[in-house]
Amino acid sequence: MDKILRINMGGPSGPEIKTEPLGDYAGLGGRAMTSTIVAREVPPTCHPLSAENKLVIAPGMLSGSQAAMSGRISVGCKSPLTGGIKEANSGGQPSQMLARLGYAAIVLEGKPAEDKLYKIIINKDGVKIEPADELKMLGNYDTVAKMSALYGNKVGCISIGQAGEMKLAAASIAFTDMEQRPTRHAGRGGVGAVMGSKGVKVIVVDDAGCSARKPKDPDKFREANKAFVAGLKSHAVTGQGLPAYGTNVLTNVINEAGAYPTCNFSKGQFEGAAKISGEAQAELENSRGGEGSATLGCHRGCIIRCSGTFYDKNGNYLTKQPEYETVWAHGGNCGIDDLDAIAMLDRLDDDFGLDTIEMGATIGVAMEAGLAKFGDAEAAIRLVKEVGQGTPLGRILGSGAAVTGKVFGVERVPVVKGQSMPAYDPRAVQGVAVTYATTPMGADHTAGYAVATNILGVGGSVDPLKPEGQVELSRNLQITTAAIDSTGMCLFIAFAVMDQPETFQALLDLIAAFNGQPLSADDVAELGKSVLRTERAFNAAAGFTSKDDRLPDYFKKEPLAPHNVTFAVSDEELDTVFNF
Amino acid sequence: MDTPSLFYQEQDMKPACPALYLMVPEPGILSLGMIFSAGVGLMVQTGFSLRATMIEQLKVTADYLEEKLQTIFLNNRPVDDLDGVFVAPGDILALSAAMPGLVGATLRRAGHLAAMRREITQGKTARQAATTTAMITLKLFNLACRDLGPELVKRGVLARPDQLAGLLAALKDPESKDISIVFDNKYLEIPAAIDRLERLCPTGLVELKVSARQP
Repeated sequence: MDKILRINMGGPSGPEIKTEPLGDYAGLGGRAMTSTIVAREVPPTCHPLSAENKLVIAPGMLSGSQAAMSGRISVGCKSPLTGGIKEANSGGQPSQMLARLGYAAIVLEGKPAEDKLYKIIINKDGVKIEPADELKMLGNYDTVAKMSALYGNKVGCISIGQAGEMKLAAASIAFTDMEQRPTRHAGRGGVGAVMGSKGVKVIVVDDAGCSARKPKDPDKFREANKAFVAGLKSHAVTGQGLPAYGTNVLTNVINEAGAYPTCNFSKGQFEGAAKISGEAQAELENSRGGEGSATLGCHRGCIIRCSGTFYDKNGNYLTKQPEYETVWAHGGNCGIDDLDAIAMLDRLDDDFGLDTIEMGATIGVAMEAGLAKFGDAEAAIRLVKEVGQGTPLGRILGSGAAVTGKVFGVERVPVVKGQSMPAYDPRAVQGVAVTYATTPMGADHTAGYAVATNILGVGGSVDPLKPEGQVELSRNLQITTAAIDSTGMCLFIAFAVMDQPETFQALLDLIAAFNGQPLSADDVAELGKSVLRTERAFNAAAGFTSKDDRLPDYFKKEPLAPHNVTFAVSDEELDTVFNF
Repeated sequence: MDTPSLFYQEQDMKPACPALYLMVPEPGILSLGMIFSAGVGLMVQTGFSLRATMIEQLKVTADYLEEKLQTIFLNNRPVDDLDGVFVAPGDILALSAAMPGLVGATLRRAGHLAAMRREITQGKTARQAATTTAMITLKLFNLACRDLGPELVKRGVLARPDQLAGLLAALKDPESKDISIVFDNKYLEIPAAIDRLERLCPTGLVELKVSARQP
């Protein structure tokens, strides 16, 4: 990856393509690349849908190599949902493909003068950009089908659906999976709306004729990769739990803990949880059968294979296996206990190009407002279809939970910095709430993931059984997660890395052998801190203050059943999270 | 140490309830997930530590407990200290393997992120002065259900009629064809058994036992 592709969509005579060397951005990848470019090149106070904003798409540092689990891709911009800096990442094929083509980043700049739509085709011979008005208001599935017919069934696609074209703040960007379906999404923060504002419907990536990126030290790389894979396969979570049940294995457990936000965060347990659990989902998928039903990888090089394929009652493909967050958002959060209905909502979200977390939270707010009853799956489907159709109500819903709450006068709106919370109630698991409140991204559980802070020793060790430490743990997790997000590694490697020091060492060795430079735990921590400092500085320049690092007030006032707890971390403590 | 009278051996201590016997080619194939997710009743001797209860009464091996049962709840509260928590009548015990996700890792027994859920953590409990035979509710999730469920149903569990009716209704081929059902000493087909279960008091209990039929 030795070049950056820049496309100015607002050139005087049409889009202008420029390929340039990495320059100051050498050595960066994934989130480190997207956040650095956005922070340096985007005016923090610009309108997110203006020509001044930029959309940056960057494979991880190890993407395109033979390293297992290295196929994540980051998308960055100023977010139309939060108004701050955004990095959303995704699995799928395009990360590996772009990296093999040599691109460390694609930067979409400017804005077309007219309401025109384009497609971008990238292959080993170069880059083309062509008008694509025939794709207007197509869903992701139809868009990809047309690209497949034109360019073959091996290409990868990065596309937006109707929501992105309408520039809705819940719009996602879709990345095709190994079956060339648009099922993997950079979902959070409205990145799809920014792509829509640039007039780009789809980027077709064809890596035919390209080979895997070569490590600087092939022997050590091979050895480290072998140890890394062995560690992932031998761990109970990455080797057994995730492949068997997918991420939705969490439903029963989070519900048992009383931390499962139910009916728009009004209680912590859902009566229908067992019916939509990972266990029930795996049983349903296995009984219906079909290729890749209960266990499937989302990109080339994935060995955990936590995904699957959801076939309907008649055995027809409907969508990929809905993930835990999706099953919660459209399920328990809306009082819905029907896996077929949840899968349909997932399909609609993927096709329209919508963040499933944001949409599920939004429908929950809409239900509280009285637009439908909790538990009414048909009504939920109807509401999401309104978004795809672009009706006035649909455009409100597609703008996310915060806007919907304002329009319909709802107090209980579970957002931070305008972004919906994911599937863990912050009152029950308050260390996660610290991350929700303070991450520069807006409420996001993956911003401070279970990365190996214990092994890294970032910020010193915290006694797990002492009550103190939530702020420290959140800080440490945010630092290490920012670093992992820059490598292109799937966050699910975290569990094996956290528990098995030899697997963590294998990861360090893998990166070091690839780059030909030694890498220490301190280097990883410093990378994470650097990314966070950059993101925080952008947000501060955009007008964010400590008052934005807060949960909505009702989490401090409304006790959550069954534990009857409220959020109790003080504002003063929250303000110390970034003291490093 | 007191020797507990173990899991559900004392027939005279069982609540009086109808019995549902299922004979299947192999108990492991029965779709047990839903019944254990919702919870089943077990008669145990209470007053022992969680570790002793699981090893000596539920017959979980010490190695399995240590290595696999990484996520344990008592009355919805994650447990860190298996020796400092004592089982009382009416308790709800839930067992799971290690879980993915940040919160999955946070809920892990004595994991390094445990402080992040301190408000809901199960603290030490006082040991009862005397032991007694009483019912607790057991929930098994994910790999714990797969690994422990078949043996538990062989030994017998208590469940609500609607749970068992749901279990039978959910059986698909070939399970539904290969199953034999004896309900209150009478052989029944699946629809008749469901009908009988649905006519029972919904809050009552039925004993479920599953045995492996020789091929």
